[in-house]
Amino acid sequence: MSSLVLWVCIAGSSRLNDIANITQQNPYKLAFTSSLAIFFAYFPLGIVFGVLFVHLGFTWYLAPIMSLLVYAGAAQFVALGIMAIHGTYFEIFLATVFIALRNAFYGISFLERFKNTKWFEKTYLIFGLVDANYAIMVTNTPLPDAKQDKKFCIYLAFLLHLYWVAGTFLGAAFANLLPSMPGLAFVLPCFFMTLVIEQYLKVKTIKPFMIALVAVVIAMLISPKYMLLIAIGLTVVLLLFYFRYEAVT
Amino acid sequence: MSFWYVVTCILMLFLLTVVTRALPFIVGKGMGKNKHVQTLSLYLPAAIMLLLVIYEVKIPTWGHFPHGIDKLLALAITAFIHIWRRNMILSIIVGTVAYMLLHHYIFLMGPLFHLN
Repeated sequence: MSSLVLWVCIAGSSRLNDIANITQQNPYKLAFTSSLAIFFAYFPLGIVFGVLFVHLGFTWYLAPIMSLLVYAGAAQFVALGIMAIHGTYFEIFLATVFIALRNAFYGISFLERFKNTKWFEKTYLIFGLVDANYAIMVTNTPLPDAKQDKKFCIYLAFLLHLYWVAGTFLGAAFANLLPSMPGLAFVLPCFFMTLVIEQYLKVKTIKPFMIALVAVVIAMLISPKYMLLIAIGLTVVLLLFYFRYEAVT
Repeated sequence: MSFWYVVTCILMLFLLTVVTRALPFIVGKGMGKNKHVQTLSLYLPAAIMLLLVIYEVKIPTWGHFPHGIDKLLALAITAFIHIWRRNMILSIIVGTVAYMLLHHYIFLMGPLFHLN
């Protein structure tokens, strides 16, 4: 989701600036128009999450609550996959922490921009720092008026959050009206497959993927059951070693 | 109890979301300059996405027919559609439907759907 969103936003960035001029930089209109493309990504994916959540046998209304509070596409799907087989809390934590950590690098771009906000505004802006939000905000140069820019950022964060929660709610609420499809779980590998391609287009090297494959082979030899945990740990170590070695030579 | 298990997971992940996103605001600007942090922030997401694909195809179940062939074919179709159209929702729909059809009609495994 992340990189698709990045791409959509970069592709639409010139249009976003045009829209800004047309609407005399009305922060609400600008936030709505720039969020619209993401609606078509977050809303249907939210529905998929809601349906999958219910089909795995969990209480339906916990799905929109999870989307409301956790608000992390990939991490939620990963957690759900482990929750489906009643994995331990530690497994869920280890599998999601590195996906979640990616968002830790987004805030660096907004240390200045979020400075003059009230504590609850700042808290929500930080909480709403998902890939799409990050991409739109870094693509759009801040509005010249700081107050207007703050309105734009908060409204944008709210809209993207709404798309994700509303989609999850609909999917979970109507999941039992639909026939259950065991093959639906294959949405997950397909979802990550598209992200593999998007990541490749971003980093433009197969090195991290080769390192991941080496880690998988070693992890499978150690323990197929804890493959993901071991592989992620090994990947971190191997990435640091490899790129440190490359920097030295 | 499954209900409280899910509630606990949600609360744990809520904290994880808040803490990770707030990290640069807590630690400050110095963090971004660390070489190791930069390396990981650039390459780790890419590696993790591939790890997740491999995790999700559940290799331990490949011992019996169709030995994961249906999954690999469906993933190849997903990748092809995505490189071609670059539309994530389309790629996911085509890939998932391809898997369901392959699994049910070509490899004659499991029901396509059943009513609740």
